[in-house]
Amino acid sequence: MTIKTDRHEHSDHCDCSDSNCAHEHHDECTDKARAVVENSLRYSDKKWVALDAPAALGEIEASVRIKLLRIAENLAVDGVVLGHIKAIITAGTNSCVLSVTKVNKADVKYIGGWDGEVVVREYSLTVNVLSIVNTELDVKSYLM
Amino acid sequence: MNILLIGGFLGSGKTTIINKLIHDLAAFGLITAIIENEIGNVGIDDIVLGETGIKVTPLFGGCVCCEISGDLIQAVDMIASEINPNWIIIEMTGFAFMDSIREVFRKYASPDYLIHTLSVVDVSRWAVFMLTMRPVIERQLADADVVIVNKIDENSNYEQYLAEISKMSLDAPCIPLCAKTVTDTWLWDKISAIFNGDVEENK
Repeated sequence: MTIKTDRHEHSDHCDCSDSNCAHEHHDECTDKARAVVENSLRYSDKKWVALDAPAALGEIEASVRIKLLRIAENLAVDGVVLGHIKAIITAGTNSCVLSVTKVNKADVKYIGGWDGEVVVREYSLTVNVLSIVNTELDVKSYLM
Repeated sequence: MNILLIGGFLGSGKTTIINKLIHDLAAFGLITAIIENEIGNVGIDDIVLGETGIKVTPLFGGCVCCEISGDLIQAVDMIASEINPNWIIIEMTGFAFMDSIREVFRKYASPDYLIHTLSVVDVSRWAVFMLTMRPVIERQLADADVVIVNKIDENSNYEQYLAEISKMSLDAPCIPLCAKTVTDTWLWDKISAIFNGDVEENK
């Protein structure tokens, strides 16, 4: 397969080290890219959590954030996650979405009237983890 | 009917960009529907996008470019017949290859659909990506009509990468921005102008 290009055909393989070289893409390049994708870590799970004692949504968010950042440390190269770690905590009609692409930072988005001081007895937690490194990582063990 | 394929590696900011576009398109009176493709069996981005009140059709459990491409065409046809929106925005998975999905449309979809492609790059992780997974990023950029270079607020040296990104996207126009802070309608103004051939950013 060849993708559109008006430049020269590179003579070696596709992942050439010359950043100024825009070469044609061949089957070999496609195979390399596909292999990376197909061998990736893919974790996706949703669970309902019933608490023994009520907890504030802010505490729950902080706890999940710590767990996601620990996962990130295991999936990072030079502080950069080679993938994406996402979670959504939902209590009633309110949700908190956490997104991690670097080891030291979690982006947060609130949906509905999420209030960290509200106390709940149960919530749902959905976690999706995709990575092209450390693909054997036992994600579940970090979410306990 | 126009179809906008939005691709880019995991965590590049595709959902944030789509959130902006939904509001922009609504401001211009255009009807939009979303198809949300996630590899996982349980979705998250569909909940985020569903908050906008726009119809979101989830396609979970595989990548539409290679695993569930038949489901994608079915979903597009259904939305076209039920809503007939001006635009269907398809958020591809962070592993998808744009050219593969364009090929799926070329082979199996109605020729009446006008396909546009947009790739999102996370420039704050660019240097590491180039060292570790260049073939994947190259494939994801190779068939983009326009490239959004996102998270420039997290990399003050982003300008040094623009030429390389543009080259990988085979000279597609690049729009550097921070998706979280772009003002209303600014993004769609830029993108639609490029699709219409009116301006070419950073060429």
